[in-house]
Amino acid sequence: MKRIISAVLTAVVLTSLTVSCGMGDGNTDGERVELKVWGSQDDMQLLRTMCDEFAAANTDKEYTFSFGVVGESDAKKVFLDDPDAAADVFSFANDQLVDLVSAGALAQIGGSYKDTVESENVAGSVEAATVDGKLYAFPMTADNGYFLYYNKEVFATPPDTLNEILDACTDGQKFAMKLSDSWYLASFFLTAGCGFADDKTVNFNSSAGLAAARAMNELCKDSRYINFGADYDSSVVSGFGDGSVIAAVSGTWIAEKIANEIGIENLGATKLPKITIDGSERQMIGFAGYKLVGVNAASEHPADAIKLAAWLTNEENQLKRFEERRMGPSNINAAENDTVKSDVALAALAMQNEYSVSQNNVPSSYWTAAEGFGTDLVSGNVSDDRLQSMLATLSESINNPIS
Amino acid sequence: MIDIDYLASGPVRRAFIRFKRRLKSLPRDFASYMARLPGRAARAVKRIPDALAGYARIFARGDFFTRLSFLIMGAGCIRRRRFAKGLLYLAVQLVFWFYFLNSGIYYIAKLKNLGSNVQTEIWNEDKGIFEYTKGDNSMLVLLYGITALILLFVYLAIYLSNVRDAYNSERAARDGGHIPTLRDELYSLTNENFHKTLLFVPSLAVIIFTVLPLVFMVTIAFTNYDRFHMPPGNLFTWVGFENFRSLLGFGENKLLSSTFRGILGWTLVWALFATITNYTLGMILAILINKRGIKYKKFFRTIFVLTIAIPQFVSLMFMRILLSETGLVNVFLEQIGLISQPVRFLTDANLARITVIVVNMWVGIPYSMLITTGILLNIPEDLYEASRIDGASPVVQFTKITLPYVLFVTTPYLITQFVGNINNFNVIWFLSSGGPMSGDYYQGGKTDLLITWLYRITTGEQNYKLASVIGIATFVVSAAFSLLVYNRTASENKEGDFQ
Amino acid sequence: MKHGKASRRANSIIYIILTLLCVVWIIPVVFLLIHSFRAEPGAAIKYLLPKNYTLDNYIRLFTETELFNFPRWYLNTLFVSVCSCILSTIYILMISYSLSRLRFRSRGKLQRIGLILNMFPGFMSMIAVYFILKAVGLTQSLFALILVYSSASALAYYVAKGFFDTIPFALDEAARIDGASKAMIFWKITLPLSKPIIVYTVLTTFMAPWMDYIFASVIMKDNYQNYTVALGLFQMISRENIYDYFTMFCAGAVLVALPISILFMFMQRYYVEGVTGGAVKG
Repeated sequence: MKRIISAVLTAVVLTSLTVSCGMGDGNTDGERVELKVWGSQDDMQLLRTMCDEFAAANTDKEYTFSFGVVGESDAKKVFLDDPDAAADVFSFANDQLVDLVSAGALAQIGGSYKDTVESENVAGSVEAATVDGKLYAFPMTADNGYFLYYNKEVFATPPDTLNEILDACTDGQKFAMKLSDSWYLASFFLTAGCGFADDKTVNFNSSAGLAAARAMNELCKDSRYINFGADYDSSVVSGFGDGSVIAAVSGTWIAEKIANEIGIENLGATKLPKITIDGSERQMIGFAGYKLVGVNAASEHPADAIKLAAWLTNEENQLKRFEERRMGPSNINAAENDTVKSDVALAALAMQNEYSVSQNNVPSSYWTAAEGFGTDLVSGNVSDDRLQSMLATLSESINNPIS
Repeated sequence: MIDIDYLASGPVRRAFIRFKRRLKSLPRDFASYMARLPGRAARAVKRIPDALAGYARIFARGDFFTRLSFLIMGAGCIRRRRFAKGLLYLAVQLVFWFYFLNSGIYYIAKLKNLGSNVQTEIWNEDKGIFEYTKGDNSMLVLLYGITALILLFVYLAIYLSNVRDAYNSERAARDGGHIPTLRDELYSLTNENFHKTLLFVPSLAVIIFTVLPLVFMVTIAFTNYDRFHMPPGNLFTWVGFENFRSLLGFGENKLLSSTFRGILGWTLVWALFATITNYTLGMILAILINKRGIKYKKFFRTIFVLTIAIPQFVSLMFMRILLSETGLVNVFLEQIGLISQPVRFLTDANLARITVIVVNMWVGIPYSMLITTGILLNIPEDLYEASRIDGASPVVQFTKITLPYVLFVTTPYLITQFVGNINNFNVIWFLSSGGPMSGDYYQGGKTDLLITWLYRITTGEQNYKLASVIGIATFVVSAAFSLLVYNRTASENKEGDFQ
Repeated sequence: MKHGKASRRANSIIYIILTLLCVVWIIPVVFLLIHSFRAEPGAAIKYLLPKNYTLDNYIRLFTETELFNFPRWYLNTLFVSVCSCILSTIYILMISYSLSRLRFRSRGKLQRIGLILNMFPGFMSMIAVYFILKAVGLTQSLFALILVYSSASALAYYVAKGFFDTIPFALDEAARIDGASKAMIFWKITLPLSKPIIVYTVLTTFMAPWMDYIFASVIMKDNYQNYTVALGLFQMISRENIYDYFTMFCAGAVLVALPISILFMFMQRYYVEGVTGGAVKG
């Protein structure tokens, strides 16, 4: 009896294994192809038009699209929650690339697609889409970095150094930079020469790190500096509006809003200022930010998805994206376009790009850890002799994530 | 443990003494409860062989159809002409085996190491693209494996009830007793078995949407599921008690355990203050509104209740904007000249802690006001009458009647509130998001509760294993305090103690 | 009449305190209302009262549906909350009645299990809930939300159970002697006495879908059409949108608060009766 039962059970296990393993395979490209595309809410309209044009340009198959609203900043989280239900083609900010790749979420891009991407886009954007020499996404925009905004009524010429800006602050006027945000805060460490190593570790607990922290701490204690906190961008815009802010570090997304407040003729933008670290004046380094378009590795129509991703990021569509949504192109030809070059914010970003580094080596444990560090500093009551131990904790927190 | 000291004190003091005692005995109570668990489990396991022997006896003594019920469910029922029930059993058997052979057993088999096939990448020269073959998804393996196990147990329970049923009706037929008809059984579902009717659907919902997910999440605590082991590209597997060790400070990252202690401490402080402020001030407010001679009671009450109607996340996000360094509150204070620098309500660690407690009063007092109002209306009027005849002043009436009565009736509510505040996600998350973030903490902020810390760790860096351990820790804390409420001794429960 | 004077003075002090508190409580609400009529955009503004007033924010909520389909989300939420409040109320009544009025073998055990389940932080398991819904093909639908909300509220039966505990058992006994079955007692005797607790349960479960953000975001993910208002309003105050849409956010919040406030104003009495009957007995 026992033997029979075990024999039956083994048979059952074996058949069920084969049955289950047999499922899930077998996807063939039919004439009808349905692709799911994600984009942020503001871009939906544009995205639909571009996809429709893609369908019109490729009549060999019948393309239908479904759209999901997932902004570039949430893409990684929503994607990894359920890769099967995620979009075939989606856009995301380049700091998410490493995690997406290590989770096996993105399809690698090779062959002629890779060649086109590498030859047509600015080097920084290609680098930002590459992990270990493999290309994983199509660059879409090159406008996700930060630079300096200033009020032309205050500064006749673009301010070059931080001291120049602070000296121009009279009567309670402020210079704004959100040091409680790890994205901006990284500038000081990068400028001081302790960046992110290839093995995704940092060495902030060093003399260079200490110099950076000292410089930050000095700024935080300066009454002419303001951090704002939670609604930084919105505060910067209204600060420019009522004259209480004369210069601020931020990105392209608030250019139009500041222009609304002080008039386009007074809107100034330039590269980040020079700061004094360890007694010497150095050009501030920032993060280069790009938005990328990736293809889901689990897509049922990988060939079509890649074709669409390439289409969405080609020269014409990047230009269109600039014209309708003011997003700066990563495509070399599109970036050379005269109207693009005349855009104040994008021009400043292009200037800053020479002094920017990619975010690919930033470990994801960096963001919250550095936010804590920055928040402690902006309280303005940290004494310099505490900095070393704070840096030790920070490095520990980043380099030794719970794993 | 009623001593003379206790008997000599007034009702308020008595309540206080009781509370203190309970708090003192809490660790011991909890430890002894936990210590009893293994014994209970052992006893339950010991009962299994007896139960199995019982079924073996049924097999030995039963007739052919009863024995057939072991193989084909419902056989016994059909023999006794209870076709509906018999066919139902049969259907259960067929459906279950179909599911079990098709997928259930596959996932149970994979539970051992949570999948072994990794996603692979192949270059397709013809198409010029990389193609991917699907690997195992450890998370789905775990979830479906647990589901299959639960279904297996449910099936076994039904299977055994089928056997018992067959045997019982066989005996009833042999002894000439009454075999319940379908009608009888249906009627019993409205009478002696009415609880089964009522509880069936809700328990099903709870099992599917609460129990199963919970078991799943608890098991995650014993795996290495984090962003380095994310599906679909990677697998995760069992690691035993590793995660618990690192949370409690035996691991490599000491920062984690010190953060845990810090956040746990603040969670308890927060829960204590949030509960006490809301409770006492809500009570005072209710007493003021309900005082004799105060008009427009309904109007006052409605104003406060209005704040309940606004979704919490709206009012809290709005408060957050009002209280920010450039928010309206600071603008206002600056304009009337009270301050020159903005007050850092939500960005300074200590101030932020005070701010969240104060804003929580705005959110919570209306609720406790409503509850106390109801209780005040229920205080027997003759208590006041009697005291008035004795010439008691309103103050004496308040301390001798109102306060003890309300305190007595609401003690359980108070402690439930305390446990609720330990898990009060909304107020903290939407108001301060746990911030200000601190360099002293691992991915944590100074107003973070365990639960908001858990949430940040899940959404921010997909550290599911750690989140799961923190969740279990939160449960242990809440459970410890709930013992306060539900392990009350019978004597304390008697209303006689109050009068 | 010294005593009368003193109490009159005490009363006027109380009036002052109450009025002050009312102001404190009502100010954020009033601000929300005022700023929903503000014409200028922006969230961080440096003046208390808007410079210009407009109805545009409300009109735009219903006309500019391309970016934020507020009317659709509003109807979604209404649908979900009506369905889930019916289902939840049925669940809660069934559970609390059984655990309070019926005596059966596993009663104590079930109560303990319910207690333990309640103490686990609920959204710890949201991801699993999502995949269970997915396994039965229900993700990203309103129906899924209804199921999740109602089964989550099924465990919140304590207040209702406490209320049932206060109904005298003698009534049941009398009916039993007259030969009524337990089901008949439930329908004919207990239920008619339970109006306050039913209203209380309906109110609280009706409110839940308007307030919940976390669960809805996990279940709906990218399905924009099936968002609830909470999800939608949240989109309006994301970093990119807050400057342009903050005033619309206020307007939307006012529209959400409206039905619930009205319900509360009319049902306040029952709410108080229900919650005091139930909560304190626990």
